[in-house]
Amino acid sequence: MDKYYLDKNALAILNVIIICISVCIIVVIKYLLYYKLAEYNAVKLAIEIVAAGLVTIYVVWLLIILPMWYRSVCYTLSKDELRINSGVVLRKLICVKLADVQYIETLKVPIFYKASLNFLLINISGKRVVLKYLSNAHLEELYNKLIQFGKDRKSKA
Amino acid sequence: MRHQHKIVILKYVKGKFWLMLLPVLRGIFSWKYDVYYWFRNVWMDIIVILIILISAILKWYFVQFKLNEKEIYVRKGALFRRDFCIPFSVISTVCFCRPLIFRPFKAVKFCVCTDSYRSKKRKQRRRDTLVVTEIDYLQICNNMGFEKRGLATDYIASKKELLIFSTLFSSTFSGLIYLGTLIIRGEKIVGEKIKIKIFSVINMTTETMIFAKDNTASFAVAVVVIISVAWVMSFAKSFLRHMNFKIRSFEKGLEVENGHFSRWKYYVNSSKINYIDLRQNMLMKTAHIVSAHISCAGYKTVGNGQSVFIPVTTKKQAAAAMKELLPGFTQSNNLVSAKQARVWMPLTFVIGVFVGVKYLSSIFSEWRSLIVFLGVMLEVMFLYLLAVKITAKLTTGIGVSEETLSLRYCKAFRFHTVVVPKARIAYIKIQRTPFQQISGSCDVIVYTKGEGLRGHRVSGIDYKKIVFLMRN
Repeated sequence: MDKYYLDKNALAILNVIIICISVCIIVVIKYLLYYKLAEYNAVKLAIEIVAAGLVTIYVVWLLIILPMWYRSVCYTLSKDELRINSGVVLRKLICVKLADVQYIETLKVPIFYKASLNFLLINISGKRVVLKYLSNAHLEELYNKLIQFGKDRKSKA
Repeated sequence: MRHQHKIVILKYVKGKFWLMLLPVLRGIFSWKYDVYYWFRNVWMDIIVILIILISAILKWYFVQFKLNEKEIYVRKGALFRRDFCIPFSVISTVCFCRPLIFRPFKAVKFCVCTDSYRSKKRKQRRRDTLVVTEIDYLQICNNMGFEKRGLATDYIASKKELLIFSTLFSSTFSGLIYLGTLIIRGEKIVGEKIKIKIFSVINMTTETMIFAKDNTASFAVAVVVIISVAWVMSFAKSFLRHMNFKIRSFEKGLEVENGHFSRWKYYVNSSKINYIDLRQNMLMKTAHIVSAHISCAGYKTVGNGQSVFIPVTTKKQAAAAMKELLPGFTQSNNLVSAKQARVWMPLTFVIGVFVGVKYLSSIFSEWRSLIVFLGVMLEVMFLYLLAVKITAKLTTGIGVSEETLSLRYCKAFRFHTVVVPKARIAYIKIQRTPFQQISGSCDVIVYTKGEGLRGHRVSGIDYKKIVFLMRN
């Protein structure tokens, strides 16, 4: 049985993206407050409370929940099946029979080659399962193993 | 690695490109060919047009594919690069389309579907379609091994069958006559009451309706004409879509061709067909004709067509065609039949509407004629439903053969005979309400594999018999 975890480089990129989005939202809110809605004190207060709430949620999510989720995700590949464990509060387990796999796709972002923004999309009957934020090496390894499994199954049949 | 046909660049630029290009070009004529003044005014538009064109060309360039004997490999995208490889053994349907616009350029639209294909996801449909040249198309057919048997079995639908099929299955047909009567009659009653309020709307409509002389009927006439036009369009679309319908059976599956302006061709892998569905409504049942549809991932859901196998024919001819074209799908007679008819719901509505009309017309005496009219229309509908449910009791049941299961049931106003290979059944559920527990019956729901799980509910089956059948 082989176990694969999410790559830490992708977490750093995700943090940067989330911080940029947060800064943009805060700037827009400040602009609204002090330039467009300067006359309406009640509305200003409501928006400031909402903004404070959003910032709190963002900080909690960024510093606590996201790293916890990141560490909780584990992909386990055995002879006949692939197991995906994830979730912080609600733990989720997905088992995929390798015999039901139709075909496999890879999704990469070449510009951020070192950021490990790689996804493996496994298409099974009526559904698609996504393995996220794999490192380049793990992506190649998983892809080759799944392809080899498909070839072995065909030759047995 | 090969690229798609260059015509696809015009598809990628989309409508906004032409909306910008045509006024820019027209500007040359309005500026009397003074290029300097023309350019000074439209330089920004030209830059935007060039950006759209360059991005379309780049999008075309970064889509590549490769064919070999066992699989097709596709690479798409520059910023988000997507690679996938589909082995031919997992393919359920291959679809080729030659739209009218593409034919002079010898381009063919091509889509490969597997059991993981989900027709409701529009992005997937657009994503997985390639536009290839004729030479690539022939090579795909060659590599995938679409060969005909020595004596190919053909089924060719006649124009008469297609006309009947399009008439019966056009989307507004059954509602058209009903709605037309409802609107014309209803408007004559209601118009006196609210005529002042909607007079301005009627005025606008009557200006365009040269034959509507009476104000009270003009609005109704306009709506009926709109609905009629919509039905005619639906009928024409369906007829042209299924024109030249032909099925050919070969070693690995079926080849289906149809279409007049846009020509469609499907190769369906027989082993991936989930089930065959023979559909009838009351009219077809009395005439002993059926329409056969198949469920296979990607078949006819690509291109927004119906999943037709045989458009319309007699029951005997349909059975004979199925035996020739799909020998693995054998119908069997009912081993277990329905114990009771599901008449309670339509009967409740029939009585409820009658009582409701009586009650409401006593309270709102001013609106009596409208209430009675609406009540009659609803009563007709529910009485028809009641007749359908009583007829369904005679035919509902489950039959079992060596390899297949035959399910006969009624859903809404339509009768279904579904033949499912046992290998394509995901699971079977038996459901009982408290009333069914007393009467000793149950609902059997058979879920088949395919694009998501599809359930076929057979109601009112004898519980003990079905349990005995499933255990053995």
